[in-house]
Amino acid sequence: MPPSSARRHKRRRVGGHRNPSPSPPESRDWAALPSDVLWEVFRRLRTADILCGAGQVCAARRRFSIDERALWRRIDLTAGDGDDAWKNKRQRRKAMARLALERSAGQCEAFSGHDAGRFLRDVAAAAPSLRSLRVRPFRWYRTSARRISRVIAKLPLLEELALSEMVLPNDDLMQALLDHCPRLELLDLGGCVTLSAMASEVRTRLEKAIKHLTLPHIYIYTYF
Amino acid sequence: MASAGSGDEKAAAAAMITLISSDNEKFEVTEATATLSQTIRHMIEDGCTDGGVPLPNVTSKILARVIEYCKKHATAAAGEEGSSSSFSDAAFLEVDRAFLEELEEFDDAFLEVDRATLFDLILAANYLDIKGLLNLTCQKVADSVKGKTPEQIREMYNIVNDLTPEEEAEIRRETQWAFE
Repeated sequence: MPPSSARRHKRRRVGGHRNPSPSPPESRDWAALPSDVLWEVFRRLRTADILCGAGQVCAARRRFSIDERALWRRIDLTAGDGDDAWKNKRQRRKAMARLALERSAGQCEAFSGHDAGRFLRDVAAAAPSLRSLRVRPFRWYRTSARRISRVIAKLPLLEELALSEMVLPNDDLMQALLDHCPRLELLDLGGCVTLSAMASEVRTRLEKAIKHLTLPHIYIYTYF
Repeated sequence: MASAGSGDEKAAAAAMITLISSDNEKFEVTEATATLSQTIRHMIEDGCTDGGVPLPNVTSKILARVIEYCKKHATAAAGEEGSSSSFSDAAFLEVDRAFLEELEEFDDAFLEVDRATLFDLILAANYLDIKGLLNLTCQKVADSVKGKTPEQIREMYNIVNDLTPEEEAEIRRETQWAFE
């Protein structure tokens, strides 16, 4: 999802702040890149790279990464492929998410991460403008109706919700989504299971309200 | 309608613009090539390109590379317009795909430059407002710092760590978790 319309103060500086021509070969002042260019580079980085790498290189980069709120509209803390070294560092990921949300100053619009549970409530509280939420916990997580409903109730602008590897309370979750998220267009729960079938009336309403709908699998259990 | 459009295109393509680098070298390019730069496009619209366009921020070495990029991509843009107007059958899509692949290869080869040239290309793309070139070069920088520590990035790009002790302390406080 692209960051919302507030486009940058992008205008070139005619005359430029520096003239590259007289520099001796091989020596360029990368620390002095104009902020237009920094934006182009930083917006292509993952959240973890801004927090732990590029955003700490020098004073100018640090200030840029903090002041540029638009960088934090999209927070993606999912582990990439081959990122296994981080997979078990849950505390680290959670701390990064907190810091990123703090920097977003309430303007985060898209969040992807691996922390479910209580942490989701903090995400919802820190990001009231959230339009997209994608969560896949590191291990299967069973959420209670009360917990998930509380999260959903705080996200009235939600357009996309994708959860996986969670055991969901079917009717309560769907009811909360129908009640609180009128803009929801995509609901992908295909990687989740639920322990009970949904009331057909709720299902009909969901199918009517949501354009892209993938419901959780029903897990038939004999002993649990 | 379509034929009138391509006639106009040909007329536009025939118009030549002179670009003048910071070291006073002159480059003749077609308007279609030059207008990939929004900066130059606006100058043309304002009618202030007679006698050439001086580009005091761009050396001849870099300008030659930029023009090489614009020529290739201007051809691509013209090709795309042509294809959408008349043909849509599978054979034509096939040609289109081959062309896009060729363009991708061109971009990859184009990016095989040293860091100083990359830097100059970025500033030139930014100054001339050539979106495709700015995207391409900034993506290269972004890819090069992915997964790197601040120290590795400083080394790679020759950046001096000028963080104050206060800022360092703040970073440590913020990222304690990284060392736990």
